[in-house]
Parts: sequence; structure tokens; C-alpha cells
Amino acid sequence: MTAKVALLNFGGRDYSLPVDGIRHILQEPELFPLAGLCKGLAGVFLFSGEIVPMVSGDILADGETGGCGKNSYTIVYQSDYGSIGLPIEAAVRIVESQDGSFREATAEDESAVVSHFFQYREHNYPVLDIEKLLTLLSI
Amino acid sequence: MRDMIDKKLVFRIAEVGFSLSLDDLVEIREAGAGVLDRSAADPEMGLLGLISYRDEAIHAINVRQRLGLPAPESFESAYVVVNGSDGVWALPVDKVEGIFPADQFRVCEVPLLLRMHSALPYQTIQVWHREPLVGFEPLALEQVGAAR
Repeated sequence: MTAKVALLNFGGRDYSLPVDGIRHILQEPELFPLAGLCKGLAGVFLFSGEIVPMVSGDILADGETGGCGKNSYTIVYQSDYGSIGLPIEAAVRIVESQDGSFREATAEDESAVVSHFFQYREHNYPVLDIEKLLTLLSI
Repeated sequence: MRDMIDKKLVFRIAEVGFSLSLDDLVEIREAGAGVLDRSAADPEMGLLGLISYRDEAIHAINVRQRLGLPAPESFESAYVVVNGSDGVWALPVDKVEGIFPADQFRVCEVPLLLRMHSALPYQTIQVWHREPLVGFEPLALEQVGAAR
């Protein structure tokens, strides 16, 4: 699936993300509001001269409003539709994917933003599904 | 004359920054008591009322409503009068930053991720002093109202 996996923390919840798509991790970039943004976006920020949309914390909280804590960092992630900012509380570490294993999410694991789990040292890290996340932005 | 055209107005509505080409700007009117005649307001059409402009009355358009921006916490500070498709019209703004040379602005396309989820009434974002501003287009704003 990917050579390395980033283990992240958001709002007290663990997530994982393939490192392949991570362009950069920024510390609290300045966020600017724009007119007409869909509600899943919190604004935009500048990264290397590029205008990058920032995902709202509530979307990553998987529908739990107010579930987002203090987000000290922002991941600049390269999606199929361009760069996007993901607010995170902490980037815990980056590990080799071969040191863990991936499994598909089941109906019991139902989540709007997760389709797989990365099992690492007896802990299940939901793999953030960026395509699912982008679909949610318009709802 | 060319020097005047190669400048842009920067203004703010609800903390969102906008830039407007001087080609589209007619004048800036200070807001204040009695400037806006609310008797001709039509909230459903996004019309706030009329303001006087060179012996005639022109519409003041509720741009906040059309752009989905929050209502003002206090009174707006100015009306920006712009060229529309069928004459001039005015929009209330919170703050006018000033008029600046066009070479201070870097014109960028709106990222696909912003365009794919909503029909935006602007086609460019203009970076000015490391701040992304909405490229304000009066004709596009009129279309938002016409679509209602």
C-alpha cells in the first residue's frame, strides 16, 4: 500500500496516513477566510506561494462536533484534486508499513473518513481516506 | 490614465479581503446616517435599498447575503460604487484598505478543491502582501442574484 505510514493524533484520536502524499508538516499556518467556501473548509493558507484549502476540524472529528482539540500542526497533503491542509494535534511518528499490517474497515468500524486500519504494535490506527474526506466537504 | 487603471482597490467584508480593478470602480462613498434609503429594500432579491449617485438613485446590493458571509456586527463604513451590466450599483463594505499598484498583486487561479464543491462568483484569488484576496467581479456577483 505504501512504504511508510505517519501516525497522527487529532482531537485525542489516533489516525494514520500514508507518507507518500504528505508534502510538508507546518506549524500553525496563518489561515485566511474566503467567500463562498463549502462548510467543510475552514479557509485557505499559503504554502510555497500556493493557495491551499484547509479542512475544517469538525470533519476530521468524524461528525462529532466540538471533537477537535487544539490543532498545532497542519499536514499539507497532495490529493488527486490538489493540495489540501489537514489540521492535526501531533505527528506522533513515522513507521515502516512492513512493521504493521493493513486491514479493511468492517461495518462495525463504520466511519465517514476511514476505509482501512493500520495495525501496529497491537494498536489499530484508522487510515484517513482522503478521497472519502473530500466527498464529505460538499455535504 | 494607464497609471490609474493599473491599480486595485482593497476592501474587506466580514474579515474577507477583496480586490477590485479600478476599471470596475466608479467611486467610494462614505456610509452614514441617511445615505441608504431602505424604503426600496427587497431582501429576497438581496437589495438593501437605494443610495443617491449623481442626481439618480442606484441599488445597494447585499453582497454578504449573495456570498454567504455573516451579517455585520456594526454598520458598514463605506459604499463601493461599481460598474454593472446595466448601470452602476453599490455594495456596503466594512473597511477600505486603499488603492495599490497592480504589481503588488499576484493573480492565481482558484484551486480546484474550492471550485468543485460550490459555484463561486469569482475566478481568481489575488495574493497581496502574503494575503489571499477574492478577485471581486461585479458582473459575476450580479449573476448570483439573477440565479435566485
